[in-house]
Amino acid sequence: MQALADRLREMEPAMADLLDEAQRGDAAAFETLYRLHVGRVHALCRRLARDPGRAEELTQEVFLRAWKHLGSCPGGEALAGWLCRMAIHVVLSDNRKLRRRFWRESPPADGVLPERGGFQASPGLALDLERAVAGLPPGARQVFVLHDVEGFRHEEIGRLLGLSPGTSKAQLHRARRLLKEALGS
Amino acid sequence: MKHCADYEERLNDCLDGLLSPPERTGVERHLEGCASCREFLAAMRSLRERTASLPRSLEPERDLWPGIREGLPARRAGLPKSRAGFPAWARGWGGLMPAAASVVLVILIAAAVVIGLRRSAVPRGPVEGGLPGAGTAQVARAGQEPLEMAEAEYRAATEKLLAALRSERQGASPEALKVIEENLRIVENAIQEIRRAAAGHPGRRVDERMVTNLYRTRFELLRQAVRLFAREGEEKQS
Repeated sequence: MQALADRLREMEPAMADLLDEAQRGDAAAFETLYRLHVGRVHALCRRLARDPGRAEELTQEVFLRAWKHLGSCPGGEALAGWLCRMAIHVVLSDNRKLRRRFWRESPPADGVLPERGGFQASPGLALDLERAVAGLPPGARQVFVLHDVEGFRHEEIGRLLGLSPGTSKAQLHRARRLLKEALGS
Repeated sequence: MKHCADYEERLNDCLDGLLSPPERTGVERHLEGCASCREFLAAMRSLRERTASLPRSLEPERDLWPGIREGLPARRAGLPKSRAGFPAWARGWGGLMPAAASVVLVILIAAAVVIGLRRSAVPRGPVEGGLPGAGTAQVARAGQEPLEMAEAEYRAATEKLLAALRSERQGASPEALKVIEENLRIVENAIQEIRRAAAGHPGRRVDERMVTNLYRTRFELLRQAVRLFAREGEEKQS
């Protein structure tokens, strides 16, 4: 395993070269970066947006936006985090648009925005937990995904979602309580 | 049994390591005498462990790259035809350029395979009630796992491409071939290393779709190298 870790470390300069090339407009280099990071970005979009079709569209949008702003990416090693933050902004912004459009076109009587889709069976998924997370109310789900799955701190989540850290914490505790109930644990 | 509602926040903070030492001591003292809060904390710990084992990478159902490629606005003038598609660090390597470029890409893709296998090899919590439809997305042939099938197909295709590269018609230099073969060996060894590690832990599994996608990508890159060698060979002859 040590040999493998050493080998992976040796690849970092190649990653920086690839990013450099993509920043100069090389689509082939960008495609390789896409192949390496698409799973991570798509997982975030899928969990934050819930709808599988929408998650794919949003993943595409993230990479299109990344191409446009690639010059501001701090470096090869930071690329994954940079893409994840971009994915969060893209999904949240789309959620807001969707919410506005829905309210304008057909405001629900109970004030709750319905969501389509959920997790479908995929090999290797801890599906019961994924489904329970997908069934959380939007605010609680977003905070849970960002904090417990992605490892963001409440201060950062607050900045991303426009909440106070205290509200983020309250949403997290609510999400955990609901998940505990949903999973019967 | 219902836990004490006014302790819920502190128990969550305890789980997240946000309590000061005196606060923690207070919670521990409460837990000693409160079975329902002990139960609540144990359930929260179990939830956290299960959450930690969720895959952080989920491959999309379809390849999204064609749609992205279509939407990419051009950012610079095109490169000379025979060099387009290869980065500058490869363009400067003369005769070894296509081989070098494909090798770096192959290594990066292999790194993703390796990282993916590692991530997916994290032990998961128990799966209650089975996974409806799990494992049916890719139907294996009799007695063969989908991943094994993909690997077998990938290996056969790679051999064909290598044979094409070795043929005189493609014009790949012995040095270029040596570099490609050496790196394919490195990648193979890395995959085997991970497989050996995963085999030592029953119950762990890999994300087949992600790995097969990566194999496919790697194959495509090798195929591009063959095409480039062929084109360069034709240019030399003309």
